[in-house]
Amino acid sequence: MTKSAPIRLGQLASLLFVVGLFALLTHIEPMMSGSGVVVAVTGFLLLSGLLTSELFELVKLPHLTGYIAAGVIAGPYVLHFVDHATVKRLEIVNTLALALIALAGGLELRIADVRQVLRSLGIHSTVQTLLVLSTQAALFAALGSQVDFTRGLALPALIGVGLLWGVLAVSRSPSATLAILSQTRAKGPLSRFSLAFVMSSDVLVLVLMAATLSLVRPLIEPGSTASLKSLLAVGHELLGSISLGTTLGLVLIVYLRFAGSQILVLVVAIGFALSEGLRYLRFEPLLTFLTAGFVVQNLSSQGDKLLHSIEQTGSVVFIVFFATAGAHLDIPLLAKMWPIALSLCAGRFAATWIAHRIGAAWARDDPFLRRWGWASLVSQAGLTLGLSAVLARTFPAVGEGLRSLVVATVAINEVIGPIFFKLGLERGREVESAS
Amino acid sequence: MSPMALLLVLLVLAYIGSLWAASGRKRAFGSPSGVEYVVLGALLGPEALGVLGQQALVTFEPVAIVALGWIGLIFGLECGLVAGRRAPFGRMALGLTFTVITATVTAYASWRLLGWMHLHDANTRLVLSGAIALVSVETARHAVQWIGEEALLSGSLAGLLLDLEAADDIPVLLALSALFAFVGGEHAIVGQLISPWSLGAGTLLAGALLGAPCAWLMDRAGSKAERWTVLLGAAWLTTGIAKSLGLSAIASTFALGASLASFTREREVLRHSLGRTEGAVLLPALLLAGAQLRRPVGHEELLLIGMAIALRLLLSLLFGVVLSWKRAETRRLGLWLGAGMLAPGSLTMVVGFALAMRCPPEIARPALLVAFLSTLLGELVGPRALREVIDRFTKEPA
Repeated sequence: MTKSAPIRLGQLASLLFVVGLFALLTHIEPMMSGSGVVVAVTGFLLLSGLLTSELFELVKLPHLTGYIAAGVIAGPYVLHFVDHATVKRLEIVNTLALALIALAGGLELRIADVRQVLRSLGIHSTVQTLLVLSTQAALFAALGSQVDFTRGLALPALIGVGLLWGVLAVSRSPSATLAILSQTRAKGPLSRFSLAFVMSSDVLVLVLMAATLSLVRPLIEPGSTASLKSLLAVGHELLGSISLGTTLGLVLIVYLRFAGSQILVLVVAIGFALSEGLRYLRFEPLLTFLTAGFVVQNLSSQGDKLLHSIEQTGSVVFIVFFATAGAHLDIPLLAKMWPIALSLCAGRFAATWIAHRIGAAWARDDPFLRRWGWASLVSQAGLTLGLSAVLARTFPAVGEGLRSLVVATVAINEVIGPIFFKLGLERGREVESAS
Repeated sequence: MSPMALLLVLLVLAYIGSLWAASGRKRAFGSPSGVEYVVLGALLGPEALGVLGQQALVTFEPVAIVALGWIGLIFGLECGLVAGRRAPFGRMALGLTFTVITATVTAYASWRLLGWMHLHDANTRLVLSGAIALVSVETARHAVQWIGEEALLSGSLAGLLLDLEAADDIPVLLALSALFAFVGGEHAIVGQLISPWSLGAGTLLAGALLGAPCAWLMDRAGSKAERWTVLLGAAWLTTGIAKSLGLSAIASTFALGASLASFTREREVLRHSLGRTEGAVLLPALLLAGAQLRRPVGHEELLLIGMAIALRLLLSLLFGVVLSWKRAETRRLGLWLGAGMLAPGSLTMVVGFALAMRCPPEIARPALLVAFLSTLLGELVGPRALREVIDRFTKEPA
């Protein structure tokens, strides 16, 4: 539904009022720090994120871009409404958001739909992984002399870091994909393909990262030996997550079948409590909740009921999640690293596009998917940042620099990716007219 | 026990509680004020089993703040209304008068008693007297509704009682706002000093002003999710601002709720939707309030608490007699009516909890204890007395 000009003006006036109110608050002294500020910031991000995203509709930008923009503007580098400590304290919301996002993702995956794209999915995953990984590794190695933290590295080490970069480049953003699908309520081949591809790539990237870590360790840290330890750990993590996810899915089915009320309270409780338990067990929350959603959708008739309940919280969760991500964006770092970051992003974009065209031709995808299937593969967000944090811990010498560069490139991909995806969905007429 | 596991327990309790609340007249168990959750909280708290330790209470502070703000919003939306209709002004004014008299008498008596016992400095005495008064005044809206539902009663007496309680939250929350502002002291904005009273009034005003654009946005929202986003955003922003400045979040969101109810076209839908969330938010808050209960320190505190409870009882009985005097058929029910008006709703405990989170222990401890004991006494006496009044009233020849 397109909103009229007076409504847009009213939304703009409301946004200015909310920003003005918060600006006034930041000028009052003494301010008590602590919980009150976190609650106020959450409320502010919700209102400003919603209103910004509504106003962004005027220029056909996705809501998600509006949420990120609201976070960037309110964040520590622009209006200073939200400082780093507050952003850190909002991470508890992100835990819940990721759980809900993954659960909704699993619920969207219907076996019948996955079967339709299974062959295509296998081909695209192979081509994307090989081409994007190899070209990004090569590009990184070529640009190595321009990057502070790799300047002076021996060639084997540079290749090792390049390979790690290549794996990071293969990762996508399940949260951004789901946020766009949730906003647009899109249905069609591109939505189906994107969802299945992005969710399965999450698992693939985890395995790939573990394998690459084992391989490149002797290259980056001469004297150390290749070990299968991390592969074993990933195997434990993946199997454990799938088992626990299946159990959770079955429990949810029983609950939905025999009780079925107050689903949201239950989901929120499980989201918080299980995420905490999963951290302790070192299982992968995204995969666990994804599996649970998949089980509920495909082993019972309760999937749509659960999905509907989760969608009710969708906008609240997505706004806080992406606005916090926006507030996290390190603008000074991006300003410093933009030439390298932009080159790497452009290289990744080109490789993704070419890999998609090759894969689509090989899989004999329909013409529309062949033209626009790449659109959902540009976004990067939490998963990539999470992996970069692992690298920073594993390779202290280069890891921190690598992490900074990841933050800079994710900033670009996080902003442009959703725009491409929404454009693709609109071109394919997969977007519900109501949106 | 990890805070997350505790949160899960709280949410499950809230879930069960909200099921009770949502089941309308079938709510044959569970008390109107939810005092059993306070008792459970006290048992789990540091003074008894220690499951909910001090650290857990600190961890849950944001949850508690959000819950209190949300409850304030619900009170604001329902203010002045009884079952969707506006209560007659005269009856509301009478209810307000009872509240103000009870609060003034209790505050003055507490002030004198504290002075006589030479307990605390003048400022602490003033705040403590005010706090004791605020947790001694609220009466039985929930209890009357409950009894009314049980007895399938829509008679004039139940109607009168409900009308009297329709607006009695207003003076309590305004006074709470003033009390918090007084405790908070002076603030400055861009170098200009602002008195505590101006800041308190400003926060209420911010809540009320935010209500207008939010009502406008909600009326024009494209989806239910968008409406909820606006509502949650406004409630959390108001709650957070008040808390950050050391002011009363319940009072600010109360102003927001009252403003929303005045401006929105869909106030009934809104009231219904929010009413369904009350149990889920209120019950964990009551549980946490119970965990904050501490034993009184010294005979002086015991005396103060005893006096507050005794005054509450006496004034309630007196108002019962005054109220029943006007009509011949109720004249003989005066004391029963007064005893029935002892039953407090959830506001008393919520205000006590808010005071416990904001004030130093020498104020928090007796205030929360008075809130708890007054709620417990009211729960034991009030509903029974109300049933008696309604039974006798319906048996009286018209």
